[in-house]
Amino acid sequence: MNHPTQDLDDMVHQRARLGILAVLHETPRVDFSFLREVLDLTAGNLSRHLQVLEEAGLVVVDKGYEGRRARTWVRITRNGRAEFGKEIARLRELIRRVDASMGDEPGATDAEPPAQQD
Amino acid sequence: MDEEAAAHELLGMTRAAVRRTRAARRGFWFPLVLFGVLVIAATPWYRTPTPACGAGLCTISRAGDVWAATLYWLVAGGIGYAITVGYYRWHAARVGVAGRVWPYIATGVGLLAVTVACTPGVDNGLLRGPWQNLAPFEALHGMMPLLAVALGLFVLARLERSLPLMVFAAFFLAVSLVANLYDVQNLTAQVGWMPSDQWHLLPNLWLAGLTLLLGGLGFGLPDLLRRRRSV
Repeated sequence: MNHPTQDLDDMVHQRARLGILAVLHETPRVDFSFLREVLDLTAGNLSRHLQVLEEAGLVVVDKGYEGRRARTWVRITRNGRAEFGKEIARLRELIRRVDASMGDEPGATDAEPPAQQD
Repeated sequence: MDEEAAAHELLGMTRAAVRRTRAARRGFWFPLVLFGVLVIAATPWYRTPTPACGAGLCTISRAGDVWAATLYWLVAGGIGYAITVGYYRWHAARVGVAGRVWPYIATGVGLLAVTVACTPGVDNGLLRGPWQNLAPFEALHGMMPLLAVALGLFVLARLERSLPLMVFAAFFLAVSLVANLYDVQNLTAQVGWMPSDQWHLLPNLWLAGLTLLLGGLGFGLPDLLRRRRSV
């Protein structure tokens, strides 16, 4: 059996990219500025991450205008949704295995499913 | 262990981002307030006509009023859901996060179409026809559209992933059933408000309308104040 860290997807297993997918997983589309603010990234940094995710087919970036204002909306693809779900499952599995190896009770972590109601 | 700490940190960051996204996207206070106003605005259509008495016999002709109530719900419901779509679009453009609202609109409009069939207009109309055996509908106060609004709120709560709205939807469903099945004036009389016979349905309608209105304001005002403070 592989160590769980070997299963992590390098494309998604990255703080900013996982954050982008987490936000997009919650909503049909998100404005570039909102993503930048929530994830505390610079515009250039966010653009680079979005480009990587778009090239991998995990997100779609729509650029347009609302009135005179340029607006960039980002949405997640079906693949992106699936990859995000897998990555969260891998992270949970990693925590579970580490906890188990240390003799802790499984589930005694603070990891909650992102889709739970608050 | 480092890997475990990193995994915890990533999941924690994910949860925080999700929480902020949901908070920004949330706009359910608006349809609550809007439909609260629309329910209260239905008041003129729930006036019971005065009986026309003569030769020891009293008759009530309700046809005009009750068909108007049916028409009111169709128009008000349609406008209400259209304005709700507009609000969510405006909200998405303002905060930069779009909410899923179409399943709520489709459910609301679909249920409204069904329940409008049970307003006084269609109710009385049908009961004179081949559906006379649907006697239980006679016990209702022609406020079935309230049930459509209530059931739609469950869908909205699911879309907005809001437990407080889910609880409120359950409460409003109970209020809607009370408004349809019970004479609320029995209770208002105990606090000194006894409407005239013509307006005896008013307490039922206003109970539902004020519940929505106050619920919407209760959810919306803290959000509004928080946003004002953060600007």
